Amino acid sequence: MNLINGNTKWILFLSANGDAEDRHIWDVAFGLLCLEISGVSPADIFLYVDGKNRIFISQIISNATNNTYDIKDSADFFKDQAANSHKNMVLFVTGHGGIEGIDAPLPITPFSLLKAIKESPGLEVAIAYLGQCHAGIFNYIPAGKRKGAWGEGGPEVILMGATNLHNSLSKSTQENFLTGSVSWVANLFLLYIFKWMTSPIDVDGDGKKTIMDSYKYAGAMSHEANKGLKISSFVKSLDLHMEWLAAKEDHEKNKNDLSLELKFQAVSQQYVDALSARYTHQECWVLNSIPAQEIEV
Amino acid sequence: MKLNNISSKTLPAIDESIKKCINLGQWLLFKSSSGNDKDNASFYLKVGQKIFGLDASGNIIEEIGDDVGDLSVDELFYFSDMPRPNSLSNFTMLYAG
Repeated sequence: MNLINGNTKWILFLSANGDAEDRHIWDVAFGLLCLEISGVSPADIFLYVDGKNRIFISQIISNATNNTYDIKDSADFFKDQAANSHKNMVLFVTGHGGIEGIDAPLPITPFSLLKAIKESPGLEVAIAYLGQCHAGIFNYIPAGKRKGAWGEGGPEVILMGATNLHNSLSKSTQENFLTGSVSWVANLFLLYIFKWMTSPIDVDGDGKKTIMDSYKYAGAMSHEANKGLKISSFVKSLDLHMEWLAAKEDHEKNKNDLSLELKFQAVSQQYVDALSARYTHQECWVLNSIPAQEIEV
Repeated sequence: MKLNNISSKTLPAIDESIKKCINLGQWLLFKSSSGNDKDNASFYLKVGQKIFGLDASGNIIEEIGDDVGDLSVDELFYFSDMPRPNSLSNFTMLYAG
């Protein structure tokens, strides 16, 4: 089967309990840019982004497209799935995650997401790329089509996680959007999944460009970028330690000085990011891998 | 949204560490056509959800609010003479291990 030329719903999903972070909205924008480049029809692309600043969200998204999209809240995803009319679904999830599930006004647990997918009328195949931290809590659930595992089985569900029970890694990148070159702190695994969508390659050499190839590509590439990140952050963190101490001292001596407070915050952000990168392990995973070898992009 | 690259000398009052955060895409430096009349900001700095107003030299005037609110983000700015991150999507893996 073929996703782009088939009856497929492509979903970019960013839920948050409050306002979504800017970097995650840029992840959605980059995903949209890549899906349009790969030839997916705008009519088959659906965006769900939480946050009260709807104009700001739309403005970021507008860097990626000349088309107009109705950007809905995450709660609408569940309503829309109940009225599904597509045979296939590809879901990209960015944003935060934790032991409670995917961050949202009501956290989305593995079973609540699986239920929404399994009970989508007419759905035959679903693929979910999960970029959030601790995505591994979505592993080891009855995703397959086999009867009994989930009632009558429902659609074949394939889940892929950027990371197992660890944090997921993001790194600053600079990518070309329609409006120019944008910098943001991108989710590594999703960035490479989106990149693969624009120019899929047959990693395992079976003659097909399947979503299993997307997993292998994004996993290997994000690990390689992660290695580079750890090496460079080691050197940076040594200098940043001294900068951080100096900025902290200046701020504590002048607590009412907003400029010094922001400088301390800026140095702290870079310092903490450098240290976090070094002490975070990321290993991707795939659940229900056998059908994943047959589904072509 | 218009994207601009300007010299860091254009906004001399912004500390270099803040400029680094802007170029890395951690914080947003922007102009808004819908700026509040009560603030006299020439630029705005978005730090997480917080918004700060800056004058024409980059001095921080005040904290405007806890979120972007009604401000439209019409122009984004980066510093052309300071490092920007490499493109990860153009990164090529060499044979390793």
